[in-house]
Amino acid sequence: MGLNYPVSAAIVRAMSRLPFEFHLALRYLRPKRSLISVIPFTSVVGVMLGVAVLIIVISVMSGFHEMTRQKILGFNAHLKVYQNGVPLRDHERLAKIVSSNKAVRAVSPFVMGKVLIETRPAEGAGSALVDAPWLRGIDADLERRVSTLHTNIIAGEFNVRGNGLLVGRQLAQSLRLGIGDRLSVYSTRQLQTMKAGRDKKEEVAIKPEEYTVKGIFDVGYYEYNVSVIVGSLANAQDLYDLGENVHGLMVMLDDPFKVEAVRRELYEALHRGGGEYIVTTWPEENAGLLQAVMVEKSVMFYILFFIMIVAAFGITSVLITFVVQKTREIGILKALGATNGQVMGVFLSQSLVVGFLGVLAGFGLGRLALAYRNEFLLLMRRLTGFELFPQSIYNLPELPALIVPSEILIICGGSMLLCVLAGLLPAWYAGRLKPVEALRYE
Amino acid sequence: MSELTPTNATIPLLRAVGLGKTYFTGEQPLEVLHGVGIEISAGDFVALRGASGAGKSTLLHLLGGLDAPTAGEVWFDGQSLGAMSASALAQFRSTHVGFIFQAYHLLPDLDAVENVSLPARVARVAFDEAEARAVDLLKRVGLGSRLGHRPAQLSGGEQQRVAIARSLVNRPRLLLADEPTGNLDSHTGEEIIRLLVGLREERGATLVIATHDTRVAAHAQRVIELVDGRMR
Repeated sequence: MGLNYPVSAAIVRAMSRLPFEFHLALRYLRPKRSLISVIPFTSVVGVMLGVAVLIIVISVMSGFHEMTRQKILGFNAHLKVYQNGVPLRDHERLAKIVSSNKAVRAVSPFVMGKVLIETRPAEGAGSALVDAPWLRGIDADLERRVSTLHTNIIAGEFNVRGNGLLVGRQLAQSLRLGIGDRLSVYSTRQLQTMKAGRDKKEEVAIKPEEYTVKGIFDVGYYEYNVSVIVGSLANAQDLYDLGENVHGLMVMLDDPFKVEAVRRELYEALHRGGGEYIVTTWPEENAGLLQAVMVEKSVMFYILFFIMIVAAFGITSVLITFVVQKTREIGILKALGATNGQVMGVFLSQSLVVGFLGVLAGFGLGRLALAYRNEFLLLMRRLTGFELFPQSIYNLPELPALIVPSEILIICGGSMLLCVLAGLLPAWYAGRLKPVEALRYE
Repeated sequence: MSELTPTNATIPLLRAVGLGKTYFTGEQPLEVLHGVGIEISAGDFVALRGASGAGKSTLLHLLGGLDAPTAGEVWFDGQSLGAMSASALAQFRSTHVGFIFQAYHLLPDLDAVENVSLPARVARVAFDEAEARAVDLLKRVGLGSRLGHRPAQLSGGEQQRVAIARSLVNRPRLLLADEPTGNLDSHTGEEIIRLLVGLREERGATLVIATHDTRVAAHAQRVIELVDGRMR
């Protein structure tokens, strides 16, 4: 015994004070030196594993979700203000209206549109490569206040002065671009000019804009890294022939979760000034991604909950074995005056105890596994050579995890409930045994 | 005699009329009891004597509400057991009946005190009160030094003493003992019977013993002979 005598005696005394149904259930579960006493232990292990796996997977999924959200919040505006199909005129006045809202931290104009780019490799360095990314025109000073772009430069510098360009990491890789490399950028305006010239049967020579890669960024979000280049606001305005106009305003809030309330306020404030404006929020803009993560998590939860159902069936079969084994004792209890309900209570208490121990152990194991998840992955990789989350695909320095108390509560509570339900049938059978027949049972 | 206070002097404590029990398990129905009628007054000590298979245990089970008769009826203190619901019967056994079995039927996972206090715990007597009663009774049956022992650590005679103490813990008015000495040697059996008789007198309980042993039956005030399920 690991416990010294006074402590274990105190525990036994405390146990005795429980209602007799609980007391008996605990006594029945006390390990003895026989193979049969291992049976309840196996069902505890079943519940433990189910709960632990649920906690680990759901917490990792929550971690992914939170990380995705953080990344989205990092480089996306909390709110965007624009007009339907037309450039935003008078954006400085509008920015003032928006800034006057107390919840707004910063406002920055932006231009965002598709461009065609062509690399200009040095002599003998292969042929030119073409892509059609989004070009985002930014005001470098204001951008520092509305996004994390400037902190995510992995090569070169955050510099869009003159014809400087910032390129996403994966785009730079696929186009074999490095700092100082040059690019030709064709805008839709230039393509339109070419088309108009052809219609008039005139030869129009298009001279693309020449840009230089000044920096490479990695915002931790593949889609963005592979499809966005960043230039100065003036250049983008020029490419899109916008003059002093912009496509819209990026608005950052102190609390990104208050977007709905602020959206209504901004909407009203802008409309008082006249004109039709559209205000969109970050959850709307990224609904596809956020919902995909959510759906994935829900599906995982449902699938994994089946582990718990299997564990619960384990409890049912263990209890059926137990009831058969204890048939004569059930007869004795009834002879001593126990009601059907009290006999049921003994076996329900047992499933409750098994469930409680299993959930408790599963909670502990789950927390432990989450705390050492990265060490575990590292160990697995060393032992098997197999990388579960290859960094080249997931781009994660380590596995994220977020323990959400409400989710843990649902997992633990739901598992407890299942365990008790699993005990209902055997307990009901035990309660209905006829005393004399039970007493005669050998 | 002890100072008895029967609830109603004119009504016997236990009354069975036309009691029959037939089992329908095999091809032929098995009639274990037929037309048994008994009246037992409060404080009586009655022995049901008969050979093995004469129906003594079955009669005892019917009298204690552990089983239902296929014919006839049992009244306890003027109340029909047949009219009681399952939970009322459980309540009846808990409050008014103490069973003692040939095979002791102690719970192997509980020690002596826990076994004896169990019927009181079932009847929702407070823990301390139930334990105090159990310790008192165990001392009374001579097991004051064996309180924390489990059944496996006790001899047959000691286990039956624990079972006797257990039957008394709820202070029942009716004690039903089914071959209480059947598994014991004659010397220990005699001790057990003397203990049982002594305790019955102390507590003024009614005692019905089923036995095949004439020496045991000789202690009783009245002997009812059962032969092939009928009274003789």
